[in-house]
Amino acid sequence: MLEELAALEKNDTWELVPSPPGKKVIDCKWVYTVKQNPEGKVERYKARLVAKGYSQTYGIDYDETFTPVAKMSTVRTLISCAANFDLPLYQLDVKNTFLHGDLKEEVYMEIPPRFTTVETEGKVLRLKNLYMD
Amino acid sequence: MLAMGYKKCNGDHTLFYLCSKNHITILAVYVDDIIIIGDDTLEVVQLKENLRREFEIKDLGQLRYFLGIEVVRSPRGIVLSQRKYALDLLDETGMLGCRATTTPIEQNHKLGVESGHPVDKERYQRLVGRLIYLCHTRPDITYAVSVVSRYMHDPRSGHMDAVYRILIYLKKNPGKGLLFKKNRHLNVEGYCDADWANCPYDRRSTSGYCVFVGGNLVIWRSKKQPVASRYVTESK
Repeated sequence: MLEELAALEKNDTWELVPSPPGKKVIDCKWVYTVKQNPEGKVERYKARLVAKGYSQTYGIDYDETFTPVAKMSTVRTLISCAANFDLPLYQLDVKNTFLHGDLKEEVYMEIPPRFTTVETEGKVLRLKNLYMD
Repeated sequence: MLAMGYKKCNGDHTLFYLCSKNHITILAVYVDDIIIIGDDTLEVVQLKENLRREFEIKDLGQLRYFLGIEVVRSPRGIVLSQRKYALDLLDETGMLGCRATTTPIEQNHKLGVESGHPVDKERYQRLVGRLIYLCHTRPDITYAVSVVSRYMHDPRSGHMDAVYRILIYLKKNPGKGLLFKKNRHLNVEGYCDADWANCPYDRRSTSGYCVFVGGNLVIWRSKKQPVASRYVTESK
């Protein structure tokens, strides 16, 4: 959880602002997963903070969503190329994907559960980018 | 990517490529996973270096495990399989100990809308969902899975039995997958067929197609047609 928060801070995900009157403030929650390797052994435990995007309304709170998802057929075509001409295949993994992009709209989020302090009282986070579910 | 001279593919916006004289480097993005393929070792090193400057990246080396799909290189080619995924599914459903069948679905089955008493819908949908994902490397179960997925909204015991039949079939060979062979060409071939008005309930046809690139199967589909056709040729 601390690792995730540190990454969020480092990538300038949000700024602390006073509660904006008349604006909707969305909730957020922690999602916990256990990462396994191909043999089924536990690699690490992971906590991810997500904004509850489903409380937003299309047209009012947002109008565009995008995730870069490659089609599986594309991947298979690539692998066919690799097999046919003996090309090497490499794999990279980007850490904290969601942070790479910028949000133009005004989106406000509550302070993450278990991380409220005196300093954060009466304030919310103005998001620049975060996972929405 | 564009700043590095890469071009975006028109067919799939998550694909970027760079062509130089005799070399090509291609990059595919799947949310936070990146696959790079290329014959220009220097360019690949350069690309990784450039990406590292922009993002925090973990180099996983050779492609081995991607979205639950195992990738294995052998002298005969590249094998894609979802062995672990299939075994986990069998384990969860308690099917590991059962006797396997040789076909994923009954021949000339007459599965229709009303087929026994209603069953746990959530469980049915979850199971079929996992089978659909397994279809990424299992063209052999694609037809059977497409049949059971027609009843997601109102699953009955007869449909659940068909799902179990697929699981039992998987048990026979959970490690089965796709072999991509070295044929040294990139010709595209497509095949399709349809069973004319084979559904006894609404007389619609089911069609299937598959596409080979470089002699390897890359796309396939089995789908019930949206309208009933009057002639065999029309359905095809």
